[in-house]
Amino acid sequence: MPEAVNPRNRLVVLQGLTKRFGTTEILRGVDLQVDQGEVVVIIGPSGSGKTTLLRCINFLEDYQGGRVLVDGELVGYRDGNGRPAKLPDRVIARMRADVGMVFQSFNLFPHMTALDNVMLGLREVRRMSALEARQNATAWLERVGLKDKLSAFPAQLSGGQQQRVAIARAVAMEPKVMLFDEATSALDPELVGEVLSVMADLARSGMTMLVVTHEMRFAREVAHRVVFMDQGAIVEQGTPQQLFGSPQSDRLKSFLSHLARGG
Amino acid sequence: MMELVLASFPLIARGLLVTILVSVAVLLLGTLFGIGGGLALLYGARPLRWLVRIYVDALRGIPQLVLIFAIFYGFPALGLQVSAIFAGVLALALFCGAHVSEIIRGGVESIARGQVDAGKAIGLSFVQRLRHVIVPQALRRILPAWVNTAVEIVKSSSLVSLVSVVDLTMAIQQVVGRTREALLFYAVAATLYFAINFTLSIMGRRLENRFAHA
Repeated sequence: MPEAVNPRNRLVVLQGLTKRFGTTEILRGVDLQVDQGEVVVIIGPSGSGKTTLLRCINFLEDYQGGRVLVDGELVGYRDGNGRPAKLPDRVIARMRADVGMVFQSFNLFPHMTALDNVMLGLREVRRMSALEARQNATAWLERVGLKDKLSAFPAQLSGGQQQRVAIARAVAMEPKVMLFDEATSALDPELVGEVLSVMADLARSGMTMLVVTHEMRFAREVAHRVVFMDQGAIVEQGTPQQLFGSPQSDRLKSFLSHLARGG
Repeated sequence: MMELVLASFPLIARGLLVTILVSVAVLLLGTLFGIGGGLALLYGARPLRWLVRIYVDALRGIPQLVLIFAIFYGFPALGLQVSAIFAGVLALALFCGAHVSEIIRGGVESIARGQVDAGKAIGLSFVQRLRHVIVPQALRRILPAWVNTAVEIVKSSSLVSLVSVVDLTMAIQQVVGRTREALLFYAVAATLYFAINFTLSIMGRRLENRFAHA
């Protein structure tokens, strides 16, 4: 059972978050708060805005309305009167360094070994010495079970191994919060488990996590809170027991029954 | 026969040197233009992007010879005296720059979007992403096309003979005029052009292999 979290430290705060692509509204005023150490799993049908919501938190997407705060700091824009202005590249980069992200398609750098993939941010962003970065990166790769793959290139690794390197690359930066965007959706079924167990291990260590996934067992066992999104808005949220045990809205009921039928 | 070849050797050698120097100058300058143009097409503000887009499309649609004549005969009309070699190099460099701009834009755009996202997500700045993520991957795609362009430029450099620069082509013509041995000396010219370009292709392939990774 997940432990209770200290509710005072609001690490991620979304207030009325609105995102449009042209005239299509992807997010329609989303409010969400994530506390330090909390694991929040976001579920919902495809196109419901889950991925976009994650991408707004580290400003891979800009947003048109509302606010995104990470550890009290407004993400992407200058806080002030008048029209919001985008922050300069360097400031946004510094903010992103504190938010780790794992992608559906791994996105490892194909021209670098596993070790170099993890070391790049440590060297360039955290300004570690080569020795320190190497020790750090090696330790993280060991922790995700890839001790013997340090000098392998991504193309030489299985999907599950690549995704574990990607997790090590993100976590090694010691971010305040980790975002997982369908981290296991692109994997062959037999490789899903090894990635989920690394994620569960991370959750147990107290990492604050926002996880978009279709793995309902993971949500049930690891999440402190489950959020159900549909059509760009949060429809329902609560503990896994509440959401899976007694869903309130028709949309969640129908979503869960579709999942059950799908397997 | 052997005497003919030997007597014409210094002239041909000087012509070959001019051809090589013109080609190198055009490629250096043109690649510089192309890096600027490519970055502008990729990341420039909209007005700049449009300007460069016009430059690229216009230059790629104009025969190189027209460009050379336009600069050689056109600049003096504007009060700018230019040497034949300057006109030739500038015209070909502008042409080369347009092509390299497109090659660089295409090479960078062919990199998966997720690569940029991943670079951003670990907190790399724009310059750091270029240097560590984009350029190393784009180079592999850019290099083969760049070598093709270089080969084209070496061949096009013969056009400067038409504004009286004594390059390899012009030197050969002079030798042929003197000796009436057209077949022999044009065969010599063809062999020399081929040798330069074959060397370029080989070097290109070597470099490509070096950038290729597992």
